[in-house]
Amino acid sequence: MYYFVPVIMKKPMWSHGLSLLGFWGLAFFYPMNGVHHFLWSPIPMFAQYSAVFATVAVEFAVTSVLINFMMTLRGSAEQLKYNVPLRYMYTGAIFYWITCFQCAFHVTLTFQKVIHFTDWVTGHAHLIMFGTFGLWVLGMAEYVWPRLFGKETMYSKGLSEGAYWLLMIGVFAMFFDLTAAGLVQGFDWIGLNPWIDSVNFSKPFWYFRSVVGIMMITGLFMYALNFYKTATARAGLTAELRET
Amino acid sequence: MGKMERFSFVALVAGIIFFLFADFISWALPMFVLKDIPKKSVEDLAAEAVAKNTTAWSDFNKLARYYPDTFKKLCEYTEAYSGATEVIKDCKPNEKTFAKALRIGHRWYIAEGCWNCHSQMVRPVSNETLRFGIPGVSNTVSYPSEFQNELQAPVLWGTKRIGPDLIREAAVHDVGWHVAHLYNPQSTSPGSNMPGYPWFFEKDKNGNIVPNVRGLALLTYVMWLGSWEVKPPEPFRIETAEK
Ligand code: HEC
Repeated sequence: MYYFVPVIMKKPMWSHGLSLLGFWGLAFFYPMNGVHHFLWSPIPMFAQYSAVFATVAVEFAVTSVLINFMMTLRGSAEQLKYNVPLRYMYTGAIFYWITCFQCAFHVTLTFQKVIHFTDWVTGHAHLIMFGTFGLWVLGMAEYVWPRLFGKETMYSKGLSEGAYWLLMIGVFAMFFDLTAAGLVQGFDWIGLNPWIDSVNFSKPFWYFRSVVGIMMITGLFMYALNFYKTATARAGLTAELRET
Repeated sequence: MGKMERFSFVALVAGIIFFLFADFISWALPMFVLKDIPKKSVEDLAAEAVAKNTTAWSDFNKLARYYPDTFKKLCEYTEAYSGATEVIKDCKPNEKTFAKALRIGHRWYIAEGCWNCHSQMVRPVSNETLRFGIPGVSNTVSYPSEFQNELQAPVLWGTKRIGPDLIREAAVHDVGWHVAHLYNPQSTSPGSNMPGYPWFFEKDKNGNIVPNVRGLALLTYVMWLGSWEVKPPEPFRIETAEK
């Protein structure tokens, strides 16, 4: 991100100091974050408390990173309209912040009572792993790919846009779906209902998740097809709309 | 600009130190915490179960009695994947065969991905002791030392519950239920979305469907879970071994 965003927009990051702060903030607080997966488990409470503390702290570090990227975007936001790689990256960045914001709450021992072992956590992990890091990688690859093959642009604007919207809407819908499912499951378990109830209650959510998952896979196929066509297209493709 | 550079340098040095410090607490402290809890081998666990005459030990005896042919095969069975390399001559339910079954069962629990749907940890919140324990029989929250053994490496706490927690499973169902359930979960639990595992079963010489070696081992392992916590009321305890 710190490499590609300035390269694509052809301007430096808004603040170097802030990026250092973000980097070392994350480097310091992230290692303890691993333990936040083990809240209420039989490990020492001091480890659990420090995980909660470190995870909330990461939210602040991530916010500083986000401020930096948003300020860098200032004056160039136009580009998001037609530059798909850049849009992938900024979508990912916003999802990153949403995930970390959510994390700052559900890492607390109170939230954990309900949501641990439920689909809520699965939804959270999808948003960070696919919504953020996945979209970033897709954006970076789409930026590099045509250049690797001496083309000016991707083969098809339509495929490129289609893939983006399917993936973006897909992963966000899945996040909402699983978050809701997690609450249903969590409260159902606390209520000591027969176990099979929680399975039955979850089924509508799981069906919806399947539909959305198919959407995302379709998006990925479109993305891959676009890559294939770009690599094999004979003449050099030229951009109809130049990225600045 | 000069001020900015000084800030960067301070952030760099402080950052490296912070990073090393964070790294230190996240791996060194757990080591200090665990050093006083001895790590038990599968053989230790088996010996303990036999000595205390736990439900796991009696369930294993029942399995051996119900499925004698499979049990015989268990003694001869070897498998590099689960580290069961020894052919046991003295083919009776004893510490050795019990340990062997636990070892194989544990590995196949992992290989089949049971941990994708089942956790192995009772938390002190959310009524979990009520749900996963039988009051007066097994209602304890998970505690560190019960995980300090070979059958919890890798840790099988799990991340997602589709099915119920299994760490107190010993208190819940009997052998017959488990056999039927593993073959076809819908037969005992209508509406269950747990898949059946017919490849843990085979036809015996009378054409009956019986657990195969891995199935027997897996069932032994599942019924062992939590058996160290179960304090069964007297009639529950059956006589073991012999004849
Ligand atoms: C698709 C998810 C899934 C997988 C994989 C799965 N299970 Fe299950 N399991 C369930 C569900 C749901 C239930 C609750 C309904 C029932 O009793 O079948 C359950 C129930 C159980 C029970 C009864 C628990 C109780 O206390 O009533 C046992 C024992 C069990 N599973 C063992 C296993 C073993 C062993 C494996 C691996 C071979 C396995 N499960 C794999 C979903 C799963």
